[in-house]
Amino acid sequence: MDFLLPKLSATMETATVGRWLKSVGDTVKTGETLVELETDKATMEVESPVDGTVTELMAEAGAELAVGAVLARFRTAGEPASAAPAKPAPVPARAAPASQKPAAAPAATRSARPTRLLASPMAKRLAGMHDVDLGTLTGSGPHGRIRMRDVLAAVDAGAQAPASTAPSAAAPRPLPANAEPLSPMRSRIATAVSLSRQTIPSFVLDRWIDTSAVARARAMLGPDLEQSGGVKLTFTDFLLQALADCLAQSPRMLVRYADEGAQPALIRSQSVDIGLVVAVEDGVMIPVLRDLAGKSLASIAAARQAAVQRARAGRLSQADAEPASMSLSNVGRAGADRFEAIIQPRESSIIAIGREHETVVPRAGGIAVSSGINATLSVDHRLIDGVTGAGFLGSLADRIEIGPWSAH
Amino acid sequence: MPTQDITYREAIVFALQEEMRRDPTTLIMGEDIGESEGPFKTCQGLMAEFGSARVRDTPIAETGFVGACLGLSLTGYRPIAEIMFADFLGVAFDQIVNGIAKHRFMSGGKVKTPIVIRAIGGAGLRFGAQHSQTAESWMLSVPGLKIICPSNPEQAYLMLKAAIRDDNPVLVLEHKALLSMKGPVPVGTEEVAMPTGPKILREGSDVTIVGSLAMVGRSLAAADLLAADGVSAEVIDIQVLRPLDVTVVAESVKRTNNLIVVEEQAPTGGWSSDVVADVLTQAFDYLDSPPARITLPDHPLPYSPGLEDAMLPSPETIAATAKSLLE
Amino acid sequence: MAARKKSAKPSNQVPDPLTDDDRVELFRSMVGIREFEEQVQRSYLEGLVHGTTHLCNGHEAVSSGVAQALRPDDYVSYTYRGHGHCLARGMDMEAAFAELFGRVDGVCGGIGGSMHLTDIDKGLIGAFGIVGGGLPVAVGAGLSAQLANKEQVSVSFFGDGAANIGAFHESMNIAQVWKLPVLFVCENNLYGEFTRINHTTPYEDLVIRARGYAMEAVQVDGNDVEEVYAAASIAAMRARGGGGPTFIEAKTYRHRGHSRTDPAKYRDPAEVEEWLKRDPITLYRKDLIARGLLDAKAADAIVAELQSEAKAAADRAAASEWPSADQDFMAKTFA
Repeated sequence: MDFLLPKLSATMETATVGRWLKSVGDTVKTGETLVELETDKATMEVESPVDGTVTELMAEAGAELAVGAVLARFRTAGEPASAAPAKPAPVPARAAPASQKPAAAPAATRSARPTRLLASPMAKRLAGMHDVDLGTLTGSGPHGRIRMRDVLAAVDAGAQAPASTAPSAAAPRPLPANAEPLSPMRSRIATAVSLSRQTIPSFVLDRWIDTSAVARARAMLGPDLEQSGGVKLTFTDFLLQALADCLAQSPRMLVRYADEGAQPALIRSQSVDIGLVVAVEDGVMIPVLRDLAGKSLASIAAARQAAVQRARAGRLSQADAEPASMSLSNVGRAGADRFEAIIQPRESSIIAIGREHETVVPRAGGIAVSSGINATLSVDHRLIDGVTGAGFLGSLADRIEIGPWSAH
Repeated sequence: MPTQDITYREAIVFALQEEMRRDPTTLIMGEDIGESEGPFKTCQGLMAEFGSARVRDTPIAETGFVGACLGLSLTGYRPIAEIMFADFLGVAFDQIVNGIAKHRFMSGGKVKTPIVIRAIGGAGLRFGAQHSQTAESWMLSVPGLKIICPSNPEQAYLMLKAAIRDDNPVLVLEHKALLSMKGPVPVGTEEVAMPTGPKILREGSDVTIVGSLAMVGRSLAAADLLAADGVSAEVIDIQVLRPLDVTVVAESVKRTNNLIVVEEQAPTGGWSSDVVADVLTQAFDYLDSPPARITLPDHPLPYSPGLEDAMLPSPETIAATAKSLLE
Repeated sequence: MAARKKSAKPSNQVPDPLTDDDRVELFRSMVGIREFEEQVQRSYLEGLVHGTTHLCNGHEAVSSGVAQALRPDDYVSYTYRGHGHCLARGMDMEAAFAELFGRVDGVCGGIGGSMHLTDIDKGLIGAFGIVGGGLPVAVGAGLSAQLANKEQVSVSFFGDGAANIGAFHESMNIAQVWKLPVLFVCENNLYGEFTRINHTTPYEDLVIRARGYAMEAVQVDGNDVEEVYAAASIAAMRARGGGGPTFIEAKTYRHRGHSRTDPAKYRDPAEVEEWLKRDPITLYRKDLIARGLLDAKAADAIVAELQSEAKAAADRAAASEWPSADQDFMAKTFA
């Protein structure tokens, strides 16, 4: 049988062969380690799916293969010794020799078309029902196509595992009659937040911030700006200016995680960019306000207004698709005092602002009534530690409670 | 209903006889069907019983007598035409396609055209290229026609009776290799209904095999071969080629996840392609292998017995295809 | 066997001689067809008639003359150039216009169109758009008449072009061998679509074709309505009596092109001029005036009356609704 390169992670398209632990002629047992592979995530040990004898190793150490390419061939118990590996297998997507392709090797492999995962429609359907990652299965059909039986076997195996609480594989659950497909926007959101939850290890920091200074400044500056610039000054504009100032002084917050390469890496943002979460019909859109460091309230308000218009019109620009380091989600007058937001994939933090409200606070040994907000900061722990996040929140609170505000 | 064990040919005769007794406006026309009782004896005893006015020998002129069926139907009769070899349908093509199929529609639904055209086709009797075609797909794209294909004596009997009672033009494609096939037939049945879709003849769980006419029997034989190897095949008779409704097939594929369609025609432009296309639409997510079609090679049928046999899908070929889908 | 060339008017042999009232009615019938077609032409230019249409100007004497010889329970089938045959059998002008305009009040609900006027209640069993396609159907209606044994006849109108297609020959043969009560009325207007008969047929007198089938045949002046009537009347009498079919060749001329897109430039102007002089309506008008059955004023009044009747019928038809595509028109395919 052909042993195909399995898909070991959701984003894996290729892998580099590390070390073979078996040679041609060796006997292997199911579960025995066969080879080490370097993937985009880590070095992984790959186990043999069957009992049998290795008849052919299809790639040497250092070779890059696409998912689905033949990695090795086995002879299993039932197969005759003379069984020839007759059927043409998917051609391994090796990087082209430099002489033929001038592009740098990594770029060449990245732009190569990934080998398609072959699975029958029924297999795909069952995999969806039972939450089976097809990338982890080995297809037993022609050309390595994953068949219904392969998925059912995987479901059975899962159900038999002692720790598993998976439902029995007996009958596939049909989609309820009243189910309806997600809109394109909801699908996009679903994918993004799922990816974030699955890939970004985040934690949350919280801070109460008094906003009476903002209210005073807004009352003072607002009418003037509105008259001269024609833009209505909102609370969000103050938040943006405060965030921009603090970010400009916190280089450790102006980073994002780079999961493109094999090595862990970070990318430092060259400018202070903030994504703004805008609620629209049936979802949210996140336009990005660029280069906010040192910007006046007037220009921030104009940029914010343009961004909101882009989002409401459903027409984000290409620049909006480039990630910022941080996004701002301001729930406004809606009912939540505080909430946690989910970090956008490819960003490193998001700050969630609850509704502005009065509360009782200790002040000067007594108690006072204060108007303010809860600011809840979620950060990617791969890059940002508690000290950094807490320091940032502290400086943000000072900035908002004290000022100064630069109007023009 | 008690049944009699009779042949496909006798089933046709019984159906004609009973319906001609039942309705005096029925009459049958064709070449050599009167005193000679039809080259295949499908009109046995009819002229003796009903006379030459209602059992009428025609000149060898399919355009003429098939077209005359339209005139008869418009003026109160229920004509039946026998086309000696389905291959000769080509001679009457214009009358069927532009006349018979469309006349009711073009009149704004104001006339009725109860016409049955029986055509005896199919390979296996060494009749060569011009006398062995099933002609199943020739009229497949013509709105206004119904096309039905009986694959055993019981269906030959029930379907022909229903076709004669139908108020629309019905093309009944019979198969000459089935004429001597014996089976139980509920002779004397009063109530009959036109089939509206395919019929499951054998239930199975691993693969659905669809055929028509003589290919149904070969598919059933293939199912026996497969059963011996532990493969459970469901066999479906397509029965009604037009209007084509594959719901029964799609539901079957949802259970078996694999589909084979066997058609005694060349590979292009036939009904098996339509079946596959419609099943893909209705049951795509249930398919566990690419649907397979087994047809004749893209050549006319040859005369020499060994050559003709080599052209026709055999039970062994069908079984082997099923196994390759399940590999 | 009777393939007569240029029969004299056999008025003394006609089973049912025309009365003076009949003659005026025949004139009215022809004028009605002419005015209908003239209005079709105008309506076509107004965009009310769609696709194409085939006018029968010049053929009126054949339609009206044969219709005069028929009973209400006889069957008539015809061609895409069939407006005249339908009107001569009494089809309602408004229903005919509405059909040409594709409206719901059309005689076929707007589904058939100009080429497919059908009205089974008037024995108008169908118009066939395929040249020769109607002949086998007429044979079937003839067989039906023979079986019903009620002395009905089946008439098939077709053109000279149809005489070269297989369906013609099969039909002539079957009708004769079964002695069916069928009148094969060939309107020989010398042109099969755009091509003159001498390019397509070995002779211009199609009555010769009947000989090959041992069929009674007669050739008449198709622009002389009484001569057409006499021939049809004799043929119908023979058919009703079990004497079998007759082939009637009516020599006539198509005043306009094959269809609305055909200016008919391929015709010799001298030939056109010659035939226009022999316009069947002009000829009969002169005849009736000469016989004192009509004066010019009365004749003009008939034309004016039918012209305004056609105009009014077209106006009413144009006000009819369009058939609704979401209604049950598709249900009309099957009974």
